[in-house]
Amino acid sequence: MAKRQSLSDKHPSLFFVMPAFVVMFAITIVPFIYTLYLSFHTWSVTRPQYGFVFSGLYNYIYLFLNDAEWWKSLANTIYITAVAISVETLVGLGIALLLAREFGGKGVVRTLLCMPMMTTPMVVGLTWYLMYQYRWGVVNHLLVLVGLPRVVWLVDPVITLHAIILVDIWQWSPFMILGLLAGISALPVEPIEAAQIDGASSWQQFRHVTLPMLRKFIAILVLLRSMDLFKMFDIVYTITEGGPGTATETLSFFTYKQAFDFFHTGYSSAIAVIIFIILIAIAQVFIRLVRPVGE
Amino acid sequence: MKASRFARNLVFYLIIAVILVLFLFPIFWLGNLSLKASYLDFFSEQPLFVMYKISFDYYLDLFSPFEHQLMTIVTWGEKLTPRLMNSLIVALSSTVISLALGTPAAYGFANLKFRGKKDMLFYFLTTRMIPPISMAVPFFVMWTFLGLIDTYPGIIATHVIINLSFVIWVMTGFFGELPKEMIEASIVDGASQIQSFLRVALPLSLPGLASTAVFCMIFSWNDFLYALVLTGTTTQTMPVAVTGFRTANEIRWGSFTAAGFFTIIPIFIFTLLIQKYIVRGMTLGAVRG
Repeated sequence: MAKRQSLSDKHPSLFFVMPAFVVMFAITIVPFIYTLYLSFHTWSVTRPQYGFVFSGLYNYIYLFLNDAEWWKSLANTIYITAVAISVETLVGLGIALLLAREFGGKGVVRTLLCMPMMTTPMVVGLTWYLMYQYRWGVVNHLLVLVGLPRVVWLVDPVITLHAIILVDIWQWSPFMILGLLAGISALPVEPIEAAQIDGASSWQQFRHVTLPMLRKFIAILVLLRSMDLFKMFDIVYTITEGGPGTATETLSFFTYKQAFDFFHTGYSSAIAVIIFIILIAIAQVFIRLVRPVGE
Repeated sequence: MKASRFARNLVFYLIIAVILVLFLFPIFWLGNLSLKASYLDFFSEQPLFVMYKISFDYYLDLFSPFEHQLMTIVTWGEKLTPRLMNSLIVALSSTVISLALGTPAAYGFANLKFRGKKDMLFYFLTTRMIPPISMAVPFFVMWTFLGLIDTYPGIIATHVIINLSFVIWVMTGFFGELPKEMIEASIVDGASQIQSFLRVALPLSLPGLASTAVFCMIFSWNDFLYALVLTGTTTQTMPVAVTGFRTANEIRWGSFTAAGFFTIIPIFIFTLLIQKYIVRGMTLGAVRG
């Protein structure tokens, strides 16, 4: 006991930070190095009889030069990310500006808006899967009610891709709304009052005063969303399983298929490494924007 | 004048009502479907106008210890009680481990000076961004060799990746907001860093700590990919169990929807508990609500 006390007083940083660091190192860096090692081999974990063959950069070369499905899933992911984030930002900004003023019941509205983004993604996928059904799905029922034709949501490749995007917009627009609402309420009031005194219209106030001040908040929220969207898996798995064909296959789902349907362990390790690098690159941009407290 | 203001307010609240209906309808709809006992109601082409008898049969069947309770065919192997326990065990363990390791580290980052602190903090933030699929591949292989597939330690370890970095990052923010003088005063009074951590910093950040714990529970509860890959029949968590009602041959609609809705009920309760901290937590402390 006395010895531990002295360690913590001499090197408190070691005592406080080291345990977390050691554990985190063991469960992130070690598996990553192992993935890197596996990615230079041709091997299947379920078919070890075919051997564990060193193949150098073959997996990477094959991935980039020969695998059309990889490029398709990369394009899908980028498209989903771009469209979903654009719509979510616009919807979020619009509704956040609407809710920015004080009104009765604001707290309740804010709490209710939290619900979609906290809901288990797998259950969100299941719900929309049921709602998108052609004959008895409630989405088509509502379309018919307002005089529109039924839509074949889950069969046509282009429509299905946008159906997936719509689910993400539904689930994550509230994140943008609440994030921007917090951002707006943190803004200083003087510049807006000054603009009002100068006779700026409300559009001019928004365009030239509020929006520039919100830029950093928007950047943070967009980066967080893009990292989440690049990992998108649960919704694709439950609604379409990447289909029809490969129309809605995302990077994560493509890797999942390679790793756990076909058990191409070496090959899927190479893909995992590439996805890892993409995400870490985006994360570095995010990190530059946020400032940790306490330094 | 007064009338036009009333009209403006009315329009404002109508718009808010429409927004709320849009964002809450799918959740309501899942609950609604899960209460329909008859397949005729379930597959109605006029679902909004069907009057049906509300029934909790599917919920009862999911948790009753008997097989073939009703017309629904939930066999014993699909009962939800053990899966519920699994979800709780995994969520609680990963939360406790992450808090036990993460809160002291966060205190260190907020109050101590040491070399490489900033890099280390950024390393922890970066681990939060790791895509689960990149980790699921090596963990599946390692756990296969170590015999840890379908064991609690196997799945809990991956949830610690999700939660430990979250705890460190968010708690560093909470500790950093405490007045520095309080920590310094307790050190001057002769307390060791451990004592000032346990007796000053921790009690003062209790609301933050509690909300962080609830967030960890939610993240672990909602995880699907790690659980899908690394658990089996004995450690399966709720989200994976729900997908089990959709097989290659059939989809058991009643059980599927009831189990799905039951999975998200705890999330609503958790969300109510931490609604003050939602924005802060979901943006990793980058935006303070």
